[in-house]
Amino acid sequence: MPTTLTPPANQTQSAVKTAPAKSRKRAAWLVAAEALALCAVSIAALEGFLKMAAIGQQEFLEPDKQLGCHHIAGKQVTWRMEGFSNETLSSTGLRDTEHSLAKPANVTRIALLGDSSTEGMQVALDQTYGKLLEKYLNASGNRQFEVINFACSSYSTGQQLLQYEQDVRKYKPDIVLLLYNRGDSVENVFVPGPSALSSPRPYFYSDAAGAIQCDRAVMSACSSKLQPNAVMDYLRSNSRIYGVLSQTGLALSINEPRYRKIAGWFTTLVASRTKNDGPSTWAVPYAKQDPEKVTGALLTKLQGDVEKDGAKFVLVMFPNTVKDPVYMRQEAEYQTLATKNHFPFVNMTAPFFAYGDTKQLFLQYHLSAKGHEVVAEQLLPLIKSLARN
Amino acid sequence: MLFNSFTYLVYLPIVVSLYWVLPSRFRTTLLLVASYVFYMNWIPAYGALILVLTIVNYFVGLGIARSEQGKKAILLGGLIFNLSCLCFFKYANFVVDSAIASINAVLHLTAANPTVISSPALKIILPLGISFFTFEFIHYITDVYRGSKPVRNFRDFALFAAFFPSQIAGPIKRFQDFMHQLEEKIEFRADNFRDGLYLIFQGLFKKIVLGDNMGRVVGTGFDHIAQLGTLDAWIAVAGFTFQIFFDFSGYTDIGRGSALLFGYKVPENFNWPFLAANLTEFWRRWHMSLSTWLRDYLFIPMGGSRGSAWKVRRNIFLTMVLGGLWHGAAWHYVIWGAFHGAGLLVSKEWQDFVTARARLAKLRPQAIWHWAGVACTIFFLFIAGILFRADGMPQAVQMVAKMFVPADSTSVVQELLSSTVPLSLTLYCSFLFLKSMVEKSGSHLVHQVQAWWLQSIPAQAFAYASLAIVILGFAPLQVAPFIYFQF
Repeated sequence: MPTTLTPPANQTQSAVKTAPAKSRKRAAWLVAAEALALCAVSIAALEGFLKMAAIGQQEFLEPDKQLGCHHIAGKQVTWRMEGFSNETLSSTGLRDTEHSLAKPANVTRIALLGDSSTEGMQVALDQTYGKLLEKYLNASGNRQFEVINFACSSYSTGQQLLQYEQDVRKYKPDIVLLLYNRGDSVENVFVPGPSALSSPRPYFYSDAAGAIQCDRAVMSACSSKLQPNAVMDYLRSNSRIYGVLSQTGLALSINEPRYRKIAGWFTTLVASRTKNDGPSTWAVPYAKQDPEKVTGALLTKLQGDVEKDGAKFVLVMFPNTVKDPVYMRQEAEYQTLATKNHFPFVNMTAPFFAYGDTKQLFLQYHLSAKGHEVVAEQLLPLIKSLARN
Repeated sequence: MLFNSFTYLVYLPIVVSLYWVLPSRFRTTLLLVASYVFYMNWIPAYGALILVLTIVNYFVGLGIARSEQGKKAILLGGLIFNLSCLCFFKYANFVVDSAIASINAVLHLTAANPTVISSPALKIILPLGISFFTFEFIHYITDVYRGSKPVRNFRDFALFAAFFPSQIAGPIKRFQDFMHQLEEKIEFRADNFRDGLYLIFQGLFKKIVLGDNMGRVVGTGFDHIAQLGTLDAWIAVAGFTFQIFFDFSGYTDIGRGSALLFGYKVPENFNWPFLAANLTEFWRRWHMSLSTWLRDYLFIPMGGSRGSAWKVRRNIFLTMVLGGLWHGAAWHYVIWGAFHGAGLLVSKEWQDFVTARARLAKLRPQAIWHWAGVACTIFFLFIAGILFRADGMPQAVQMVAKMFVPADSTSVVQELLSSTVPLSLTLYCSFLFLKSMVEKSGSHLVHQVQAWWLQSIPAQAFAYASLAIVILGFAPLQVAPFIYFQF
């Protein structure tokens, strides 16, 4: 007895003719359905897993039409790229606890301006020099102090000036402290190239009369990038997969010169194909700017604004432990400016060398918890004396 | 070019696509060109070095095969040439620095305020992979001397030497196996492709997710030894042993996987080394291609297990010392090799001692005996790992002291807990457990799912895409080079 049923010869032939086409059709349909279902399952599973693992939560900036970028309000951030922190940004987008706009009575309010070094994502919020300074100040006398950290990664001095004029002055600080970092002056002036288009920001220049002016040409050229986009805003705030891809782009742009080159070509290509984003936007209607001079003018303008609001301005220089000659020149230049304009100037280089093992004070590029501690300790006597006078 | 770099991520798919699109007669040439591009991407001039070594060894091989009378002299010449190249590039700085340090030490002993001699800067950059490809050349000419047929086709021989999936850090190939594959017409096979991708992804996970993140924890410990507590020191030391495994076996997996995409099989290098119950077994499971090379071309020519017990012990010890020196041009590598040599001798003596005692020998088949052996071997590897990782002997001694002097721990413990290591290690172990369960399972459902998985391209595509996102998500900011690239 046969173990398998064999159809008659005529039936077999017709089946051979029709079955492959039919099964191919079904297979294609099934494959598409399977792919769609698997795509949905993969995305859901991946988002769930990444959330559970606190991965892909490092995205905390969104485009800003005025400042170039700002913090995403209320975003939970788990920072692992250098050091570690796991906190939620305030409802107003500060890397800080909640602060009311109205200043409480009998409180001396200190506003911190700066970039990633002051923002301090690399350490827990309690370990940032802002929080430590507040703790030391409140522990050292009867006077109450409130330190508010307005710093935001990648901000140049010019962006900090705009941020002061737009947001910080509303908080009526008594002291405004700016931590100047290496590279801030270069970021203040426009340098033609793909990197300017990849992260659009306002640039600054001195006009013929010597007054400082804001150049928004790159931001206008990239206006589409800076417009609110509901889908992108949602992904940025909620999707961990988006967060992973975005952080990969950042890591590649830091570590891989070839990626930077390819990304640069791509950005230029996209810009040249976008309406109004032609090469004309690359030319600027002013002479080549000296970054240090522009930065000096920006600091003077910020000091003027702060003092007009009845507050005191302090300039703090990020430690130059690598003895970078360009930065040493800037240290000298801004110290001269501080003497000339009569504002307090603190250079962190000497205290960092005095600590001894400077390696302990840094992670890779940013301050370690110990580094933040040294900064806070150095600022304590100056802030106390400024508050007294 | 690093296997874990953006460049390789772009380069490999291009070469693989070209390889399968081209007619088969051009494929070997393509792989050869691709291998030289891969190597010269770092320092173009060093492409000439590998080419010169290839030409010389090609003719040495042919010369040995042709000449009956003078083949020993040709072999000797070939060995001297290969070892001279290795010594010049790898050990010249070390020899000069050691000689000057010795002279300075003598001067300090003989005079109150001697004029210290400073080391001249030789500016010799170690060519990537030189330790690996010179060992392949030595294997080739020695085997031809021992009677194997030499490779007549220069292009094939050049590819054996330069084959990029194993060029930089092995596995150390055997030319007989490689040539055998080269002579066969390699057809595209979906299972090779699937297995290759699996190995590449597994390697990337091991290297980036496990090795590099563990490296950060280990770095915190070894960079700040003075501040470490007891638990900190233990975590740093244990972490390094596992870091080097994940780093090196990850590299090997990516290399083997890349080779499979071209249809080539390169030897395995690791076989669950941390399950070894003694040191002899460990070296049969760890860096297997180096262990077998050392056995075949160093230990056996020195006399191997023949001769008196003293000679056998001497051969084992010397093989390990030279193996240590092969790893790096620094005294702590020599001491690391000597430590392993001493460990192997103690292990051998212990085995003989147990065999001679009936009561102890009875315990041997017991599970507890086996696992006690595993624990002792791992502990030995932890200590040996300090010698490997430390910048020098004073640092190594300081780390050992930290492990055994009670003190409160903070830094490394904190770094470990805030890192992704505990989670990623759990993930990887769970995956291995599940995989072994599936392989052992006789369930019909499991077989059905397996069959579906093997057939479903969307399932594999989404699984690998998800895995890629997980790897990227767990990756640290800076990509660390492979530890074995420096050797």
